[in-house]
Amino acid sequence: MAETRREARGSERQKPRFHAGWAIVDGLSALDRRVPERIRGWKWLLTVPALLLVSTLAIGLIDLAIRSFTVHDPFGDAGSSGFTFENFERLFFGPTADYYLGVFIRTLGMSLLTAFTATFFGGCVAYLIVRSRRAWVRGLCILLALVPFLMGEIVRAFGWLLILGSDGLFAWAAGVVGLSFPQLIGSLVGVWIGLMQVMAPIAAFVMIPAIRRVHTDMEYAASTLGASPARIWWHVSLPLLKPGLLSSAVVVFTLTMAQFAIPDVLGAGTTPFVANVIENMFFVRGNPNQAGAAAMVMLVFVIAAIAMLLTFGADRKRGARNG
Amino acid sequence: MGKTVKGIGVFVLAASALPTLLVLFLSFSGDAGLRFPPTSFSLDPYGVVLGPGIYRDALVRSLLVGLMATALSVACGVPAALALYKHRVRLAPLISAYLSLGFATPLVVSGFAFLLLAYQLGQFGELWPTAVALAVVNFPFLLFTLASAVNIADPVLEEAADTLGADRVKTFLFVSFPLILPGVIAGTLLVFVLSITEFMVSLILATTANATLPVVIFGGLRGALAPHLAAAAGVYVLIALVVIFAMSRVRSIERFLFQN
Repeated sequence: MAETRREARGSERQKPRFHAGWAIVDGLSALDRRVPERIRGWKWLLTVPALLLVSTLAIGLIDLAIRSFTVHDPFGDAGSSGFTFENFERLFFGPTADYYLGVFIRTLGMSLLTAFTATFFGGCVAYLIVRSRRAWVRGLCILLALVPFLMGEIVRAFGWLLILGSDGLFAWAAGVVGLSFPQLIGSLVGVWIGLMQVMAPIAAFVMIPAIRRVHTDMEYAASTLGASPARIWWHVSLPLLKPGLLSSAVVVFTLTMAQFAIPDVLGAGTTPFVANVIENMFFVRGNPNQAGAAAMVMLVFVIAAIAMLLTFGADRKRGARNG
Repeated sequence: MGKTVKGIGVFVLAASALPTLLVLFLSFSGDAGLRFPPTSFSLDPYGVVLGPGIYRDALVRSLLVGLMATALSVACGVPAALALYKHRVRLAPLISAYLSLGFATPLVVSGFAFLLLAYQLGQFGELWPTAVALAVVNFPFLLFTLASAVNIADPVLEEAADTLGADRVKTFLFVSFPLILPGVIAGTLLVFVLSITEFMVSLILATTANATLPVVIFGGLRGALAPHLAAAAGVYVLIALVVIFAMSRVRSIERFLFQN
């Protein structure tokens, strides 16, 4: 297209018709030619807007970190006291330390449980999507996995409230049969069901590329060589899937550690996670510095956990390759 | 073996479709309170949500915040993705790790970081700090999607354009950009949907003046459940369906999911 344009410009007899689109393109080209050669090479300039954007969060985090080392004075200028560990001491050794520990253990336990179960169930969904031969089945599965993912966690939590709640679908169905349905809202089982729905599609999306790497040829080759399905799974498929399983578990673990909505809505306030406690410290008790300290502990823990899981996974991978 | 796995997959998908279907079903309930089964049906819940009132205001704010956050993300994300994954600038791994900060940081922590920032700038209660915050926390999803799009694009085509006499601008506009366009569209739609459905950061930054729809729905869940809450949630189901349809039109779902 550029070539015909140049020809049109070259011949005087043929008057080129003015075209707004091309005029803009030519203008941009002219502008681009004016950029000195030296600056053209500075490709890193392209990352500047993104770096600035993310730096807003970095600045906020630094502010939060500084606050966590000062004591909140409700009557004065926040953060006016000197450097102190008081907020952290109160968190670990204060009168409510046992409560915080309980919340932390609940969050950690549920995050580990959800990381395993969501990876398992999500993996099954990913397998279903990747290995379906019919296009419409694959499309339908993708649709069913994407809709809840794109609905947002509040709508999902709401949906489960309508199913598990005392006026909900299951209570009604149990009533029809003449049974009583256990109260799951306000229990960790209800929270786990809600978490599964949020995390299983995410785990599936993370694992789809990994499952695509496990070619059916390899499994077929192993089976013609006389391997049993169990051996194929353990020695062929699983090692190939391991990176995918690991990244899925890490993503789900991280996201569950930070969960707020599901424990709040489906736990009915009786099963707070770390995020709920931090929110409570900040807004209800109005102590941003204390909340900042808790947020810092959480941030450090989550980052350390991710790093540990990734190193552990990498070691295991190397071991498998050597063995 | 494969059959069992597929069976579990079908069960999981069916179980996760159930709440969606139930929300849609009950959003047409004509009762005063939400209960299953509804005794009558009506379109009134949607009238409450889409008529003048807090729900429509919140929906409009959500869409506005989503548009702002998406525009910011795309404007920052496309150049950054090109620099990081195509030109492979120095320190690219470090820069892309830094750019994923919004994904690695727990949302509640990010929320309070932005709250302190907005407060100190005297902008707490405005809509734009929420938009910036949502852009930062959802930006990594755009970056991941773009990374795979840039990696798939064949660099030989750009060399061909260069040989045929196209300058940098024309090569970008007519060769490079169309090649990554499916990725850009998928990423843009993804960030938009994640922004309008985002809850945690929006809740922390919310006042009555700038509460987005998820925050308003959440507020409603704490009291007696009413059908118009299901209708507000139904709006999100509808948005999700429209976005999936749009993504399938540009064939970018497969790009997004089956990135190699």
